[in-house]
Amino acid sequence: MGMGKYILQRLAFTILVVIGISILVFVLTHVVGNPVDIMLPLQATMEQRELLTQQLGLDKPMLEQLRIFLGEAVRLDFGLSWWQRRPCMEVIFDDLPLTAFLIFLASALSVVVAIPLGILAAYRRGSIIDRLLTVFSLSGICLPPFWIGLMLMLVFSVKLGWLPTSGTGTWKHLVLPAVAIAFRPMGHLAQIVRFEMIQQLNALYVITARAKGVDEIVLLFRHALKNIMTSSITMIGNDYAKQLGGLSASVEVVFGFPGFGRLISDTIENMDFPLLQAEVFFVAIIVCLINLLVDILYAAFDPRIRY
Amino acid sequence: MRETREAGEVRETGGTGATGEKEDKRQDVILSVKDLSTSFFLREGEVKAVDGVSFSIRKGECLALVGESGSGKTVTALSMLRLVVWPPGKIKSGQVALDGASIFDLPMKKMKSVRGKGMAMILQEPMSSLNPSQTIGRQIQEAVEINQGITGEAAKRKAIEMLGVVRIPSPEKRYYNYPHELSGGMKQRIMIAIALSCRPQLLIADEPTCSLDVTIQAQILRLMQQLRKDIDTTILFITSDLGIVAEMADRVAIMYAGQLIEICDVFTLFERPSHPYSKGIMGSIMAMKDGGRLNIIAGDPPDLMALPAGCKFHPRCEHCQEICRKEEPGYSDLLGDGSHWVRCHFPLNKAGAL
Repeated sequence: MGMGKYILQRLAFTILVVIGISILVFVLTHVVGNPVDIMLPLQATMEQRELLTQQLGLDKPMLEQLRIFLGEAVRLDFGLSWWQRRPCMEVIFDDLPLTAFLIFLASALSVVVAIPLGILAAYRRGSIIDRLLTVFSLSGICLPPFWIGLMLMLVFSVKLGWLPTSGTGTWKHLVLPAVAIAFRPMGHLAQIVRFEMIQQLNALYVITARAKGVDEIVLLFRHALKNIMTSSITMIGNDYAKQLGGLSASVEVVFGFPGFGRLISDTIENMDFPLLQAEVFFVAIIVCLINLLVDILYAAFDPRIRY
Repeated sequence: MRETREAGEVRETGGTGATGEKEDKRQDVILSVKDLSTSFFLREGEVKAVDGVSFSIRKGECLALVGESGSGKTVTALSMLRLVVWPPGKIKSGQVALDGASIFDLPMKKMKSVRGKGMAMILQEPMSSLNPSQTIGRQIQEAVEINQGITGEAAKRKAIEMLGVVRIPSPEKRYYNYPHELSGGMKQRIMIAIALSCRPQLLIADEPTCSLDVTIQAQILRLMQQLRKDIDTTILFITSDLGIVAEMADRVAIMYAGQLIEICDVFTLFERPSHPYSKGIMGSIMAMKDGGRLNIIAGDPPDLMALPAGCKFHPRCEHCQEICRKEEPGYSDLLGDGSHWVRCHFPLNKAGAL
């Protein structure tokens, strides 16, 4: 099967996944509670409540609501956000691109740091360096990102005054949130790279390469690195998707960053069904595309994988 | 210079006394190994994989290193290249001199100048000894670039030429193949091509046919014999197959439990082996030839974690005496001319009689 056909097939599959997830979210949101109770003050009368229920279309049978929702979603029209009173698409596209970029920065940072460190730890396994790096990467995984964010803020904003504490607008505003978000994927990736690299360094082809006089640096980066890339990009893609799916919210809150993660949690709090559905819709698409990209990259790194 | 090396110069690097093969009096020694010991330090204790091994190889010669699996043949070869990985493996003592220059004195960073050009190695597992994510052509070309001082297109042409040398059909196309697209026999040819592309002074072939089926084995052996004739390389041939020894080797060194127990030329070994263990393994093929029952050596291969005191072979030896249980034998020079060394208190056929 050719690569083009494979990609088309996967894109078709993506559409199915997005439809499935949209239906799931629709059903879940409609059974968890009544948004009318949240949107109206406690002292609202029954008439007022019924009027709002009608306006929101919540009085229609569930299947009918679902049909309307899917019909509009196909046209990328998710209607008005109940909470923000403006089109869902507008709300999402206010926050999503910048957050996607922020998490991309965090991912890039984690890759740049974790791959060399993981390789070094594997190469010197059992040494002090290896142990320090393990402590470092495990702390990256275990420490809550918002705490890391606060500590960074304390040092670089409050004490040193190099970077702003919160807000958005300049590249400086992105630095600390990106670093705070980067710690967890960095820890994951460093562990994966270390583990996989140890496997590779025990492989016989390493002896073959050394026996022909290959330099150690060349051995690590030209021979072994390519063989650990499939598992590394799986981890990178997975972490990116998770962060974009709302995991970055706590860091965004700490830095007062108007981000997508924070938007998702606010949306849930306000029971804003249309907006939540739109958010899930885009997250699902992005996750599917990331997985597709990862699968395509597999073939680029491992010649045994062909589609 | 290399051809006329004096025996006296070799002596300077060695001088290990009782456990070492005495200096090879003959000329043209290209590699000498003296009192090499390599151990693996495991949780359960120390495994002496190589224990005081000494031998030398002359230019153009093929020395077979023979022994059952686990006797330390491969570790000996890896130690010569300092490719034993710590942890858990460590070279404890010894001297290896290639062309008179001591290798163990070099800083590790300089080892890459010895590997390849000095000694190249064909590993015994062609299936996993090639990098799965690089084309085979690229892997040969890398050996060419490092060791022959040519790069780019010229190196690529050379790599394709090497594919032809090891009889890979349509080498221009095969250059772009990945290891998984090749059969085991072809991969072993690639391994040979890589090793030869290094233009080594010494080629170490570690059981290059052991994982291949019999017809492919024959092809690879024929290829290696042909190449040996064509380019006149010095070979250390590691094997456990006595048939291959008879076909390939000039001299044979036999290992048992990490020690080198007998070294002599191939005819002497087959006609009148001196160590009881050598006689035992020879007996196993002789009996087959006569159509008799297979003679086997009684007992089990030694447990390297719990080696016996005295001679390592004594629990299985039918000539075992009191001294064998207590004292480890040193090397004795059977003929007095350094051509036949044996590590045994009571060598057989001492007078040369059958």
